[in-house]
Amino acid sequence: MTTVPEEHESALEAERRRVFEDAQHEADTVFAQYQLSQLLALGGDLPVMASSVISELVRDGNAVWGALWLAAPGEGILELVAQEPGGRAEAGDGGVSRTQAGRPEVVPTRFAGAGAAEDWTRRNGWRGVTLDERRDLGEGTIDARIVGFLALRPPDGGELPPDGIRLLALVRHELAIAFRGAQLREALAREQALLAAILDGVNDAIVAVDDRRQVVRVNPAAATLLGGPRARQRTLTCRELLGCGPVRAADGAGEERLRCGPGCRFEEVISGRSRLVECEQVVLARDGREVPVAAAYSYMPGPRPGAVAVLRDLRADRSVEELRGSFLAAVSHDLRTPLSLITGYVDSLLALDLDPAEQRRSVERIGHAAARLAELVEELLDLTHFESSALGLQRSRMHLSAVVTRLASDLGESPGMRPVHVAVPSDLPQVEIDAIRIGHVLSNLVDNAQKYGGDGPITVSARRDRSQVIVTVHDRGGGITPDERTKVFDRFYRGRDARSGTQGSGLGLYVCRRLVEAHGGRIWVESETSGSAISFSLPIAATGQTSRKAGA
Amino acid sequence: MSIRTGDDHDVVEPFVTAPADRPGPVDGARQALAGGIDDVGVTVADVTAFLVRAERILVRHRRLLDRLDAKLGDGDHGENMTVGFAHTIRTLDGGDADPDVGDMLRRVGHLLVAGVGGAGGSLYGTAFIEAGLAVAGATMLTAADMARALDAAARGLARRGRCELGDKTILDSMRPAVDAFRAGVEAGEPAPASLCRAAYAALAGMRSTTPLVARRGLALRLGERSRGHQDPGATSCFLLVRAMLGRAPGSAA
Repeated sequence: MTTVPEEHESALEAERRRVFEDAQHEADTVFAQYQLSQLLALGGDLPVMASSVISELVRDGNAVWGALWLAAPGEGILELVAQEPGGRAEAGDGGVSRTQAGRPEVVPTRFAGAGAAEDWTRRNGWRGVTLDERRDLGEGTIDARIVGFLALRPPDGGELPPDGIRLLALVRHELAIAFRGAQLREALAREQALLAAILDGVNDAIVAVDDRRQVVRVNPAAATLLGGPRARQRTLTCRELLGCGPVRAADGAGEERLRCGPGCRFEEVISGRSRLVECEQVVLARDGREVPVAAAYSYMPGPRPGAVAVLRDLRADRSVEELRGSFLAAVSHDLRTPLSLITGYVDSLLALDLDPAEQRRSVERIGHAAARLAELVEELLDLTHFESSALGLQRSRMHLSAVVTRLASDLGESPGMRPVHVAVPSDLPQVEIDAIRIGHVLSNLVDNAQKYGGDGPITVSARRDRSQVIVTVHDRGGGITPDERTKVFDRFYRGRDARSGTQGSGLGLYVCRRLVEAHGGRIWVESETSGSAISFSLPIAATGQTSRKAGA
Repeated sequence: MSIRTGDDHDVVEPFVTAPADRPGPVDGARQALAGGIDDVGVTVADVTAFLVRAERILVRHRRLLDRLDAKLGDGDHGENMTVGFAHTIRTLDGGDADPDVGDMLRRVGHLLVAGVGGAGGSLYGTAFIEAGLAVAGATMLTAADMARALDAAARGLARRGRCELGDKTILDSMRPAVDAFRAGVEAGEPAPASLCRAAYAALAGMRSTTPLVARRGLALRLGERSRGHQDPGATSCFLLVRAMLGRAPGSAA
């Protein structure tokens, strides 16, 4: 074997060394690319991804600053998403701190487009690349859309090392794809959050099924209405959830098939790709209840088509209708009674030859009946005012005793009425009230006591309780049961006395409550050992002068 | 000697309690001195023995490495290292009897690049390749040779990973270990004692990564959240240095 001359030997060695180093250099770039890929593959929060990517590239490219701008999907404007300084890391007692090489950078937060970004980087000595996503539309057409722009600032007066420049060029497509993906993930998350908020918030039941009639989505309202599946239960078919039409067996073996039979509106809409609106139907909830609903069905196109149903529970509507109906009936009756009294007395006045005393009495009774009518009409008017919240209180300051005295003549006036005892101290603080409305409340309460309060005496009393005046109407009647105590003030509520035959519109206590509350007070049933007592509070009128403490 | 693992962030020092039947690092150094050997004389057989010990130690700590990596990266550093070292040993087994240590180290490096997944393959691979180049042609390494090779390894790893001390990487364990070894050798210590120093330095370096904020690698994306977790790469590096102790095949692992 011939020995190679020494100088050739070392030259060869040197050459081999250079080749080897070049190869290692190449491998270094590949590794840098690999690390970036690994980072991108982990996905995650877009701002975090952007920050990490820039940190890597700043380090790999020996840059002093890096920044990334992204275009909102569909727009050309590039917004700054992240920027990172380069610099040496120094390990100290408190951990590693970074000292920046050079001054902090001020980068534009926005570019009109990639062209503007490129201009800026050129003018300021940065090195940048566009991140664009390309789609081959076929027939030689490539659709390029800008995803973003990434730029690095080399050390002052310099340029990025060739490796850094090369790395940027190598990774730009992968960066475009990754950031595009992150943006889409963000947008998807937002859409899902919006959809969930809508579905959770609506009162109507929403049910979505796929083309095999498997229920794919129910909102909370649907779960409540239909007693439907909780999240982890197995998927139901629309038949199981809603009681859609029976499934026709496809084969003779009697096995259930998923392609459905008549009566399922989902199927109708899916096969016809149509919509059905205002279907009034009865659905069968999972616990066997039949629920009347007004439903709308829509076709949901796509690779796996389906249908969505929106169901409105009609039971609430119907019960309100019923209440209105019975209310109207009761009101009509309430109005008729005094009216018939009036017509009766008028007839007898005209037809009969009564002596002046009898005539006077009849006219008085007509007056009372008319007053009662007037009260009822006021009540009705107040009711409409409540609905439209245009109550219009006329408040003025007065002593409660004045109001009570004013009504004293009407309370317990008519024959057959039981006596009403009034116990209102005259030294009670003044209240600021609408005398007519509060008078209405009082006469309503006393009226109830007359009607339902048994035989004993009726007492109207008042007392002071801190910053309020409390008025109580007490009777010795049957009392109010504990569970009725809150309900009696509900609209349309008629208590057991009503059910036992005494008619009433059920409005009286509701109106009292609204009027008292409009004054800033409360009304409630006191617990009494004998009979019932209803109390309401009125705030004491604020005094105009406040006394100042001496020396304060 | 086995390394007991405490919680996730702790690798307990093995040197404190050395079982009596196995030579501790200090005993080994005494033995080497007693035998009149002032140079270690690392041969290809020693490299093979090291690989075997390394694989064993990595296997024993595989789950720890995976757990550490799960906190900072993607949770597979332990698996990657064990698979890669096993592959390397298998491939080299029964290979040609070329006594060139430098060449063997280089081949080990290439096998690690190919066989160890994640960033670790490329980084450790480069370390071994550069070490091999530094001692190309040598059939028996002196302590000085080892120092040169280790230094080249650390520099190669720093170049490949573009990492610096304090970035929370393998380097934070490797560089102190290499420096400690060189300091020992330059002070005239025999290689085993210097290796002992290196192992302690690697241990300290590994632990020093815990409070750091990651500036390289997957943990980079965690930012501040990477604090408080020991770096898996620095941990595997300590384990490898630890595996260098004990020269004879079958000795303490």
